[in-house]
Amino acid sequence: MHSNRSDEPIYWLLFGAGGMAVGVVLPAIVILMIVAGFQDVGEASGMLNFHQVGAVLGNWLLSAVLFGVIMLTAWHACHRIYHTLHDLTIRVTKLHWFVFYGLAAAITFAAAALQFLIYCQLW
Amino acid sequence: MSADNTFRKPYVPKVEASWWLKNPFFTRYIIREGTSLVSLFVCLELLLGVFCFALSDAHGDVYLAYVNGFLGNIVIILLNLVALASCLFHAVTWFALMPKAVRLFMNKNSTELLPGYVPHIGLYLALVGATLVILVAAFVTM
Repeated sequence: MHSNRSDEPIYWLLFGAGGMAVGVVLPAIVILMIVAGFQDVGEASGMLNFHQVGAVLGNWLLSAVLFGVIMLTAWHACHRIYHTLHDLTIRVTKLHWFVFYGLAAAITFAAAALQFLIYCQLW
Repeated sequence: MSADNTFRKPYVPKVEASWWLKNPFFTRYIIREGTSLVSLFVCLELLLGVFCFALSDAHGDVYLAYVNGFLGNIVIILLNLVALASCLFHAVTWFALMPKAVRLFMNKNSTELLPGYVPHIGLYLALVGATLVILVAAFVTM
C-alpha cells in the first residue's frame, strides 16, 4: 500500500543528529588520527595502538558510540551531498537518491556487522 | 519524492555550474555544504580502520599496517588536517544556525525566545567538553 506520508523526516532527523556528531565528536577523533599518523604505532605502544582500539571495540558502550558516530556521519554527509547536487546544477533523479542513501545504508550495515563480529570475536 | 507522470514542461533557467564562484557569500555557502564531503571521507576512514581491525590476527598485523601505512601517509595526514579544519568550520556554522532551527522559549507561558547565545554557549561547551574527554581518555590509555 503506497502511503502519502513523506519519509523525509527520518532522513532529516538522521541529518540533524549527524550534524551534531560531526560538530561535537568528530574533531577529537580526527585529532587522534593525525596524532597516530605522526607516531610509530606498535601492538601496545603509540596513539590508537592495537590494544587500545581493541579495548574500545570490545566494550559494548564505546563500540555503540563509535557505531553511532560512523552511522550518523554517513547519513548526514549523504543527505547533505544529495541536496547540494541541485546547487551544483545537477538535476537529481531517483537514481541519485538510491546512490546516496544507499551508500549511507551500506556504511551503516558494514559498520554494524564488522563491529558486532569484532565484539563477539567471530572473525 | 513523487513520480511526475505529467505533460507539463517547466521552464528551467540556464545556470552556470560555477555560479557560486562569483559572489564570496555563495562561495562560503558551497564550502559550508562541501564540509559534508570531507566528513564522508572521515567516515570511510573510520570504517576502513574497523575493517582492518576485523581482518587482523592476534598481533594486529593488518590494523597496524592501516595505522602506520595509511594514517601515517603524508597525503592522508594533510587530508586529515583539512578534515579537522572542515569539521571545526562545520561546527561553527552548525552551531550558528541552531537557534534558527530549534526555538527555545523563556518559559511555558511566553512566546519570548531565549537569546541566541544560550544555545551557542551550551554547544561550544559540548564541543570543548567532548574533545577534552576523548583526548584525555586516549592519551591516558595510550
